[in-house]
Amino acid sequence: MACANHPPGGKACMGGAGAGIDRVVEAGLRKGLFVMKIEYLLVLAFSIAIPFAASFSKRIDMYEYKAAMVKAIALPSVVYLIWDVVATARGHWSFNPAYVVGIRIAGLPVEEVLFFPVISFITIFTWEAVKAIAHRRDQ
Amino acid sequence: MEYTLLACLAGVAAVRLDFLLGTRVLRRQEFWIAMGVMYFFMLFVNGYLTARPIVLYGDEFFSGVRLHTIPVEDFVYGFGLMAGTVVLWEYFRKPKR
Repeated sequence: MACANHPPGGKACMGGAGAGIDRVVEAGLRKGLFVMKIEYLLVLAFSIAIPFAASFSKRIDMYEYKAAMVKAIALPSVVYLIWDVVATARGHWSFNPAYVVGIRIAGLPVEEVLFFPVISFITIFTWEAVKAIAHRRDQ
Repeated sequence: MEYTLLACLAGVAAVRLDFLLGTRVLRRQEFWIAMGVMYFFMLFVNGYLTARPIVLYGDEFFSGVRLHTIPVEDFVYGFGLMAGTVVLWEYFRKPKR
């Protein structure tokens, strides 16, 4: 039922607006629909869409430092992924199977693995954008 | 409270890294503006992940204090990830300049 996959304390189990959405998800899952399972992926896609598009702006030169970009995204991602694998295994947090596609890497949903490079990319872009805007004001 | 402790360690590690690598981004005003922008959007993204919930937290591993649905530890965890990324980006980008 609504709370079957949720550990105690899961907010969606407490009724309110979330419960109605959960029933819709469950109805969809019973019919074998795939669509709601891409919800975590959609969150990542919505998060990165505008920063990614704007990163090609002439005022942003981050792609001139591709090696630095790869390193500055990969290093924190690897550290946080190791942390995430251990934390997930120990039960610090878990992932609602209703909203992930079901591909797991070292116990993590593929969406969670993508989360770190996505956030690191957005962080670099935001930092560069703030510097570009601040610099323009100086001129 | 394991998550609480680990999040704090990550936050401290990012501050230490900025000092050790000599990047000193934490001293720059643009850094805190960028962090403010990131935290603003984090409220929506992390808020959504925790409200659905897509990610569920084990009650015994964090303080239990949430900002709406987001565990407060997430903000420290996020600081470690975001500040760490900016520090490493500035560090690796420098030699080419």
